Amino acid sequence: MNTSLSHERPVFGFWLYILSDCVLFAALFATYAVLRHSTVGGPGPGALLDLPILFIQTIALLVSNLAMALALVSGHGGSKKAALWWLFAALLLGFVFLGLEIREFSVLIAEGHGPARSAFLSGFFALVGTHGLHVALGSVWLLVVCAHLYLRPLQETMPKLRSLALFWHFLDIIWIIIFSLVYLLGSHL
Amino acid sequence: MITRYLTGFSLSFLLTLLSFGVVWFHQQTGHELPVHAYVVVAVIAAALAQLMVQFVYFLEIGKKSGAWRLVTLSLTLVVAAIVLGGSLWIMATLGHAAPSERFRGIPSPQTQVD
Repeated sequence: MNTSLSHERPVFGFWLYILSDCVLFAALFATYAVLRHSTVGGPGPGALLDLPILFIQTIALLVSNLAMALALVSGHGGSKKAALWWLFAALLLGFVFLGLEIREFSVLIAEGHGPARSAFLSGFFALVGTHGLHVALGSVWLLVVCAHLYLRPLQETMPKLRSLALFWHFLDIIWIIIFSLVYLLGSHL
Repeated sequence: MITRYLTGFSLSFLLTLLSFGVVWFHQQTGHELPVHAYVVVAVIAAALAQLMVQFVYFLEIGKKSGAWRLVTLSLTLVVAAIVLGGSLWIMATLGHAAPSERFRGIPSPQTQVD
């Protein structure tokens, strides 16, 4: 059997899970799109845009994505230490992203603009919150992979690392759609 | 392998800058330049381009040994398009028959939270 194929085999099942997650996000996007004008006098999509904060969030997630890819490269190169450092970098940047999102959500809720305020805000919190939840759970998984990498031989961790990297890239891909359509074009569409 | 990731990252970074730059400039010029339609086209085009970049450089779509990725992803995108397009279509069409304006998505003071 082709070595590259046997390499990819453990990732196949995980890939299918990611695709099913894509369908979940498609449903959330559809909900948001249908409800986006039902603001009931509350803040609309345009009011949520804080360009500098959004930019920091986006770049943090993008660089985190690169760090994850470099962890994979280090792992393939046989360097456990470098892989661990890149994983930590990816985790820290993920925390930056999450911290800013929690800050955004808590400010909205403190102002009385929580998910119960309008159908638009329900759709917004469901969509962006589900993505944030994925990043949070991904961070926990990342820590588990770090521990596994630290304690076990590198070769045993590589399939886990490959799946984790795939998941992390997928989260960035979902974020591209969210920051473009929900935030940047929020008041335009 | 590392060059591929660095290329993917650089392209993504530039496309992100483009999206934010266009919207930032739009805000700076008091929402006049570039005109509304161009902002929408530019941001959507940049997002689509960045999706392609991520697919090719990070998810390894298009590698010969990974044809199954392209096939399964394509099918998922079809399902996603049906869910998204179908929802918007149905809800937009409902508006013609609905007695209340809220089904057309027009915010009105009478609109209730369900």
